[in-house]
Amino acid sequence: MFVLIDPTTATPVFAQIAESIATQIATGTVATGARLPAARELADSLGVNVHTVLRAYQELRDEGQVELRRGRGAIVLGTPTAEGVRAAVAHAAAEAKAAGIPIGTLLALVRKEYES
Amino acid sequence: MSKRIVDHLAARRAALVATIWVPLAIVVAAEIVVIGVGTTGSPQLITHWGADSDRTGPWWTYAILVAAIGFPVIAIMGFFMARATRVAGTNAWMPAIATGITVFHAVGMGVGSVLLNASPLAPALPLAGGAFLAAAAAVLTWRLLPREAPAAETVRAADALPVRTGEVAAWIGRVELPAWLMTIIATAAALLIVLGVSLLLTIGPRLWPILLAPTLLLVVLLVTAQFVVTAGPRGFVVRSAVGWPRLHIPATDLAKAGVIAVDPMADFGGWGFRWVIGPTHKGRWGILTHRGPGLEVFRHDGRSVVITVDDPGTAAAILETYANKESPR
Repeated sequence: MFVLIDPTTATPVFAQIAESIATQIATGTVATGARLPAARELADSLGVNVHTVLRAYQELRDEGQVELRRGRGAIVLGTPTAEGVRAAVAHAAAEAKAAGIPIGTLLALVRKEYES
Repeated sequence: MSKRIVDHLAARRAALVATIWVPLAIVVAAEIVVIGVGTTGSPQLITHWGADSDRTGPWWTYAILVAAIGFPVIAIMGFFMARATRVAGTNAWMPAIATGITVFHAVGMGVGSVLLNASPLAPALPLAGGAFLAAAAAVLTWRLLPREAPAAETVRAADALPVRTGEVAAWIGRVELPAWLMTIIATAAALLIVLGVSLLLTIGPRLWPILLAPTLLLVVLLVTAQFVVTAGPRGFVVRSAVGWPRLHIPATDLAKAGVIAVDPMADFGGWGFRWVIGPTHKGRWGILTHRGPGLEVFRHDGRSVVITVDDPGTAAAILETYANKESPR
C-alpha cells in the first residue's frame, strides 16, 4: 500500500493519510477484506507519530471504509466505487490541461460541483 | 592463476567436478588401498605413535577415518558450491580447499599411515608428506580451473517517484507463504508432535529429542510465514511478522531498486529464505514465495535483496526516490 503525505501543507497529516488510503480503496488498489498495515509500521515508514496513523484509521472507520478490530487491525470494508468517476476525472483533467486550466482551478470547480 | 576465461556454466561445471568428483575419486581410491593393505597385511595397525610405546587398533580404523572425514567434507563443500554459484560467482578457492583437505586426510593420514605403519618415519612422513601433497593439489586445482567471465549489467533501476519537497512517500507490502504450503508444514509438524508425544508416553522421556524436528518446523513456519516490507524515507525494511529476522537497508546505503522477473528455482534453487552469489558476483538474499515479478534492492557495495512482493513497481519507485545516488564511501 502506497501513502503520500505532505506535512508542510495546511491539511492535517492524519487526513492526508486517510485520504490516500480511501483513494486506493475507491480505485480497487487496496482490495475489500485486505488488512491495512499495522499503525506502528506505517508510522515508522512515514516518520510520523503512531497516533496520527491511528487517527487516520479512525477517520476511515467513521467513513465506513474500514473496520477496526482489536488484535486484528484494520480490515477494509469499502468496495471499489470510483471506476466510473475515475474515468470522468481523467477526462476532466485532460480537458483542463488542454484548456490550460491550472490544477487549483480544476479542484475548485470539482468542489463547487460536488457541494452544489 | 589460470588465464582461461569461460562462461559461467563451464566454469561452474569444472569447479563442481573439482569440488565433488575429484575428492570423491581420491577418497574411493584411498579406501581401496587401505582396505587392500588391511585385509592382506597385519590385522592390527599402529593408530597412535607415542614416545615410549605405540597404541594399536584394528586396520579398519583407518578405513573409517578416511570415510568419516572424506564424505562429509565433500558433501558440505559440494552443497555450498552447488547452491551458492547457481547464477554466478564460481570461485576456484573452494575446489582448491576441497581437494587439499581430501588429499591431506585420505592420502596422508589414511594411505600414508597404513603403508608406512611400521616404518620409523611414521607418523612424521605421512603427515608432512600429506601436507605437502595437499598444498600441491590445492595449488594445482587453483591453477587449472578456468575462471568465470564477468557478468553483464543486471537490473535496470526503476524511475523515481516524482516527490516534491516536503512530501513524504512510503509503501508497505506483505509477503506470505502460500496458504497450502503453510498447511502442509503445520500438518506435518502436528503429526510429528502427536507421534513424538505418544512415543514419549510409551517408551519414556529419554526419547525427548524426537520433538526437536517438529519444534524446528514450527519455528521455521512462524518465522517465515509472513514478512512486512516497507519502503520510505528510512530506506528498505523487511521484517518477519514475529519481529525477527529483520533486514534494514538505510536510505544512505541504498544504491538502486528495480523490478525483475523472479524464478525461485532457477535463480535461487528454491523458495523461502535463500542466499546465492548474484550476477554482480556479490551476495544476493532472496525471500521468495512465488514465481513472478519481484523487487530487487541494491546496496552500494553491490549486495542485493530480492523479494517477491505484490506491486514491486511502486516499491522500487519509492526506493529510487530515497536512494543515495552518490556512493557514501
